Amino acid sequence: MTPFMSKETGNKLNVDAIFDRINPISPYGKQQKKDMPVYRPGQEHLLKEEYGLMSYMEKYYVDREVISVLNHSKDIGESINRAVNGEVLSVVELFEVKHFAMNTMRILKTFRDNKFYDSIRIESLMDMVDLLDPAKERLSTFYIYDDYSEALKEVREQKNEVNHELKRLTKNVKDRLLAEYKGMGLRLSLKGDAHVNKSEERLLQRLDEDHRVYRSSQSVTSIVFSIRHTEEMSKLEVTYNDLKAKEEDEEYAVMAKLSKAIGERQESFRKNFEALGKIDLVLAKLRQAKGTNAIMPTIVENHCIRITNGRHVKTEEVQKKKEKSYTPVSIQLDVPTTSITGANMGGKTVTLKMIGQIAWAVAMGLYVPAEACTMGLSNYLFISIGDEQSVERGLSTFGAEIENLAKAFQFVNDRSLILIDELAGGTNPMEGYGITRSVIEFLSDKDSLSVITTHFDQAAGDKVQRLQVAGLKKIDLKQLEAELIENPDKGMDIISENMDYRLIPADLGETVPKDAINIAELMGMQKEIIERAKKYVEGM
Amino acid sequence: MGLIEGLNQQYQSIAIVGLAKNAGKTVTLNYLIEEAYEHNILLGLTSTGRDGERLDLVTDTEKPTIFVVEGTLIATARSLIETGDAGLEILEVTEFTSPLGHITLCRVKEEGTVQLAGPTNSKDAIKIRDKLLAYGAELVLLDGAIDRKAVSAPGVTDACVVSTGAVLSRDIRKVVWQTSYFITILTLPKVTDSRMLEMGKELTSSSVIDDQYQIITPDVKTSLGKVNQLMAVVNEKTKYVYLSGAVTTAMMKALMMGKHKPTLLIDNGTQIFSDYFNFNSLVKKGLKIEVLQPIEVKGITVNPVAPVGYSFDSETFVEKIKEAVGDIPVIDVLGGIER
Repeated sequence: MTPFMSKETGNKLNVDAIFDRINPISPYGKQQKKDMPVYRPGQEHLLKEEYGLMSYMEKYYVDREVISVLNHSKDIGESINRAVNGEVLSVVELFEVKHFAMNTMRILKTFRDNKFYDSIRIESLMDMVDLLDPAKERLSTFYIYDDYSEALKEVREQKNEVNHELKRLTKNVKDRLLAEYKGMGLRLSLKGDAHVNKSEERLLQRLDEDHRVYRSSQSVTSIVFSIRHTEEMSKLEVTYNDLKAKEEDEEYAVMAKLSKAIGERQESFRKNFEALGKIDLVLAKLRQAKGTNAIMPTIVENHCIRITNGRHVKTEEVQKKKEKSYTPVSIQLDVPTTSITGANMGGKTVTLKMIGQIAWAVAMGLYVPAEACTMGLSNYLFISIGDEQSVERGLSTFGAEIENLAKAFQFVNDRSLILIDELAGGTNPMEGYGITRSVIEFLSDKDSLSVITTHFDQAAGDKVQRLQVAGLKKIDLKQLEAELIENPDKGMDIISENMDYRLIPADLGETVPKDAINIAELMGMQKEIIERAKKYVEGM
Repeated sequence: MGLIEGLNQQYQSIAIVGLAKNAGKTVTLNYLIEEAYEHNILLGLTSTGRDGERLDLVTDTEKPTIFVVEGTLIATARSLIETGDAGLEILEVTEFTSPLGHITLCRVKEEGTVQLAGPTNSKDAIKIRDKLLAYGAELVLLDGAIDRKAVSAPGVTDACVVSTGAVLSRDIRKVVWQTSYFITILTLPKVTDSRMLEMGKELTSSSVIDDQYQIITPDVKTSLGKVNQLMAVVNEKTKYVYLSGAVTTAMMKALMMGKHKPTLLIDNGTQIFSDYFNFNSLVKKGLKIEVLQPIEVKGITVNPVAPVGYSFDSETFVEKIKEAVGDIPVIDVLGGIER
């Protein structure tokens, strides 16, 4: 299936300004963000369910317990796979499985009133908690506890007894040595080793003659004496090492048993991975929505788009950074084709991007940056905006535009959303007009929604919704000029401050708009040129 | 007497800092562990600033493993948990990472050997130290790095023990000089002016402070020209010149070139990058340095044997180091000689 939109379209719409703000906390949520589905026509019920879930989750959006659980969720998928494959998990892995099980149990209760949404249903892993916490201490620590096996408990007890006895015997020897060698500077380590400097000849000689110690190693300057094991001590040591080996065997047997039991519960673990990831992703989507004042759209079956005061998030952010205001725009697309005409700098391109970005957000199951929004889903989303990249590829602006449109028009009867900025703006006006008019006519009876911005006011026929940017119209140009004389460098700012970006039905009565010339004048074009241009336009 | 008794009463955490690789840091750690055991002190153990030291198994010279008794708390990298034979209870897998995996906190259930590889930076080390204390350690021993990075944040531990050894040079005099120089810069005196000490907490970039405690901070572009720019605003009223970052011999010389010679103020001694001769000659010429955070050196351990084979006479070595460093206890942890 052809993707909903190309990467290029996504870049042009600046969808990253929204997508990058969706930040799940847990590895499971991060994975689900990568696999987010796109909702297309026919899947309205799924999308409505998703929005229902988001609405249900809104009350948990700053729930500390849930956030804490997500923060403490580590990816144990690999350990579960290993357990399923019959491998034995390490102590740290068992600790992590226990931690995961206890952690998920914490939010089992939180969503207990959830009756509808299976995708966030956590399964109880209480049996796993019990398995890994045999003494029911309910601590998140883990050790191969004595409780796991009588044999293990026994072997450990024996080992410790033997070790204790061995230590007692060694300590006896140590104590006696220390007493007998008092004043000779003999130091014994825990194990009972004595490092003796070679210069201490008297001590060396005496130690050499002492049957209780022997030279175990030496360096250039010192000799290490160790306590010689009596027969009894040697026997104990052999026993100790045997018991230690047995203990390791027993521990391994316990770990193998635990791993097997964990592997048998893989389904519940995997369901919980999914549920945790879903909870995480939904909360991340809600946090993003709050951050951009986004709202839940209304989903309808028929193909239409109605946006009240929609905002293009990226443009809004840029404006905010410059401490400038941003005017939201409303638009309704009920007929296949809409044309938008109007002055340069009138925000037509931003409006196209706003529509595309909101349509994308709905397709991704996100809330939308608008006051209200009703939407019927589209199969594909295209936008054609002149950009630098195609020029770099060696295509002229016009060539790149036509190449893109030809691609988009393949899907013109597949319920697509097609957004075209300044159609044929890069070629001569005569032919440009012809192409524009013909494209608009072509689109006006197809099963797609299309929006075309153009300077060719007359290009749209009757079947088309004709809109225009309100523009500079209602503003006193004389006053603007006065402002400009005071601040000659502020042309751009003054225009944007006095520009009405809203869309109104196109005024078909007025034949020749003058905003372009007015703006050229405001931007500081030479008077002489402006006067002549006005004259030529009037003569047309 | 041993080192640990006195330390445990005064401090919660001690770093072991080596002057060079194979200066005997791990021997020192084991020595302190034994002492702690004899005195029933519950230890927390970790290491920091490790630059693959333990990974280097090929060139690894006889490096003692660390033997730990029941109850000891350790913080080590995840992949090292099962390399020793001690029985470990896993308490927490932290978010702090190391090349050998996440730092994991454990309690020793069955005595045996362990390997330590802790956090790689001092910020994490502080948090790990606090976690070990929170789990009940009475004293945290931090096996510091072979370079000075580990102590570059004296905030990590309350005090340190310095390990030095024959490995530094075949010439015993050079070893003594280097050790004595290192101890001198670590233990530079704390600023005596209490108002300056208080103000010092706010200082972030190199500045000049006058006798009215006015701070002038020139816009310094490069560290090379730093001292000259600072010296340009030094006058007879200047009391301190505060330098952030590394302080080299050249910078200290530049400071001594001017007509007025204010006291050099730094955060701590690890900022100084000089050598025994240059540093002493500058001090003789009247260079005065004070620090905002003094480092307490509570002991020096010496290893008279170099891994390549040569060695010093233990007693002479300990004696000479002791002469050079004054009040600090000096111990040959291998030979047991202590002064």
